[in-house]
Amino acid sequence: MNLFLLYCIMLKATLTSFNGPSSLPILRDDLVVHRHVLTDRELNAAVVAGRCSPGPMGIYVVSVGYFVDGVPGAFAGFLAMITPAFLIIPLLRYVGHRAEDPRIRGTLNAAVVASVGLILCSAVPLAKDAITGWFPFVISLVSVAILAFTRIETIWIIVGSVAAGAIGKLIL
Amino acid sequence: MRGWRGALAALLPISAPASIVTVIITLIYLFSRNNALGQAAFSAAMAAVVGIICGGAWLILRPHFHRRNYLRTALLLAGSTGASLGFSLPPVPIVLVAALIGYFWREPDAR
Repeated sequence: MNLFLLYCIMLKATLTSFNGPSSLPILRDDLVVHRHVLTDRELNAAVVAGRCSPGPMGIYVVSVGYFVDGVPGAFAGFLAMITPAFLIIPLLRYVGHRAEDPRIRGTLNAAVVASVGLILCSAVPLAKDAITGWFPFVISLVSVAILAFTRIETIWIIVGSVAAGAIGKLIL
Repeated sequence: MRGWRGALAALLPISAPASIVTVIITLIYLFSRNNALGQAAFSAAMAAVVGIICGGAWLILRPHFHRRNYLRTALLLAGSTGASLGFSLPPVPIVLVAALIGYFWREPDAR
């Protein structure tokens, strides 16, 4: 895949997302559904890799880039991840105080709520790929509960699930 | 304070090492694909990630679900979900339409 095109696709995802996971539906739509250069399993693995690293949630685009085009793809993902941080500087100067306007706030909140719906939609195919029995189903449910009701960091949920998966393989 | 160079200097030390760690974890995944134990461990992590995505979605959504605002939030959520799952519409137009609705349908507590 053309590296510049990959960068543009990932930039579209990072630019139009309001938080880390909201870029997920856009990337899935472009790379998995339409261009077939990534599988749901690889996308899921990329999110795992992103969650295990100390950076922001959106860092999984680096892993997505690696899956698509190796190290150059990972670099394209890195650039796509940091580009919005530079664009936000002039944008903040312009928007700045306007962000407190009720209409602007309402617009942004509506976009955030819609993006949550899209995040849930993109989780459906990932779930079909990842939850193949009762054991991963339980792991998934426990992860939701831990995230929703405790303050435990996601990295520890991943570490715990990796340990549970390995132990489960040895025992079951 | 120091323009683009300052922004770059602030951003790179944080994001570059984390990106390298991400690539290393990706490589670990690729190398462990042929190992039964590694595959089981990663499969469990993938299941956890599905839970994390759903749990994270709830955490993002929760502040928007308050008593005076639940109808707007519920309709926007149902609309975006329906448009994506039911009509397979691409994500960007869905978010843009939601933003447009949000502009005209003001949040009750904002009045």
